[in-house]
Amino acid sequence: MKDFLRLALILFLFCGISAGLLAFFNQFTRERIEGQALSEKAEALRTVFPDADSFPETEPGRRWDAMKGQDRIGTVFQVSPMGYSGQITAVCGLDKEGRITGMRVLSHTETAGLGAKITTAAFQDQFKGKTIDQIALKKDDAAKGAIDAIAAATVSSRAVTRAVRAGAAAQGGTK
Amino acid sequence: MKLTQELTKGFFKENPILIIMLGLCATLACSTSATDALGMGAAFTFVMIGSNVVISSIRKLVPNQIRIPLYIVVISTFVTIIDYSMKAWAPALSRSLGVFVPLIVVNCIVMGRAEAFAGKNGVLASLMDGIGMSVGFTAVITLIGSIREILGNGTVFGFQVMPSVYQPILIFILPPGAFLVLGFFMAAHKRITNRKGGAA
Repeated sequence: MKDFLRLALILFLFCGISAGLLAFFNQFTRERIEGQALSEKAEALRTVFPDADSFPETEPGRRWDAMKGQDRIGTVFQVSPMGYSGQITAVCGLDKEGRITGMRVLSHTETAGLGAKITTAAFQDQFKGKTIDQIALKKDDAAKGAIDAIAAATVSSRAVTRAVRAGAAAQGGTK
Repeated sequence: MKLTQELTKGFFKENPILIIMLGLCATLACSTSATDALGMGAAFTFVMIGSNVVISSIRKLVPNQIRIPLYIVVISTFVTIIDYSMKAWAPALSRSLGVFVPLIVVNCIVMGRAEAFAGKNGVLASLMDGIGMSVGFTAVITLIGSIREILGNGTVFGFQVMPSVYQPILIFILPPGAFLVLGFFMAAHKRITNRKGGAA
């Protein structure tokens, strides 16, 4: 009985020291970690809508107004479709004429070397300047589609393309 | 000199990956590119050396019955520190290593060295052991990562090294490639050791 108390106490002591150390370290890094996540998001918003200078949130974490001075010149929205092996998160800018101003994949778990190529400029930059009707894979919509699928990664390419199209259409009014 | 031996045994003779063959999960999963592999090696080095030193210095205070939970507390403290640090100062690397940084907690090399070495030896010897194991681990995982990245993507540390006509052999950056490359490394290691043995 006494032994079991002694062991518990020692374990408790070590856990206490460790918890104290980590609490201190957490305090020390937390702000930086939060700052990193925020600045990454801000950076992504700027790249998908380079003409705008501020992005007030209209729907927390999913939709932002793209403002230039006092004028609203478009919308930035986030989509998160299912890819080949998990969720893909992307942000996309849409101007008032209904053209895509840019698209960036923020996170994904697609296969390295195949689906992971959705993060390359070659794929992402295709969306820029396209109208909603053109946002379709060439192989899915031979007439209007303007997006080349990544070779051997059709599922990932299609997931992003469809989500961007659906997301843009859902913004409504800006056809 | 005994201390030098503790240091150098991890490089080749008792290499943690090729001979002890522990921590293969991290080795296989984090060697898709040279950068990831080196990052994993760095995180591992911090945890390995830190936990070896702390565990050897508290070894006389640790009751035998609860040594394993205590070791895990020490190891996970170091892992959490490196995990937070990477998130704060190297977010891109942290994202590409993902869950494998927290998983160093259950990396069998760290646990194995704590149990087999640091719990029984002095601080200095454990420090040497930790450095040796870390160098051995980091060197092998980075080499595997470089080879997989060159063959599977035509780059190393993100720089194009293969001519643009080279068609990357994708399988090398997919999971089977990790097993293939690791297998060749083990075979090569075995051959070198056998040769040495034959000559002696």
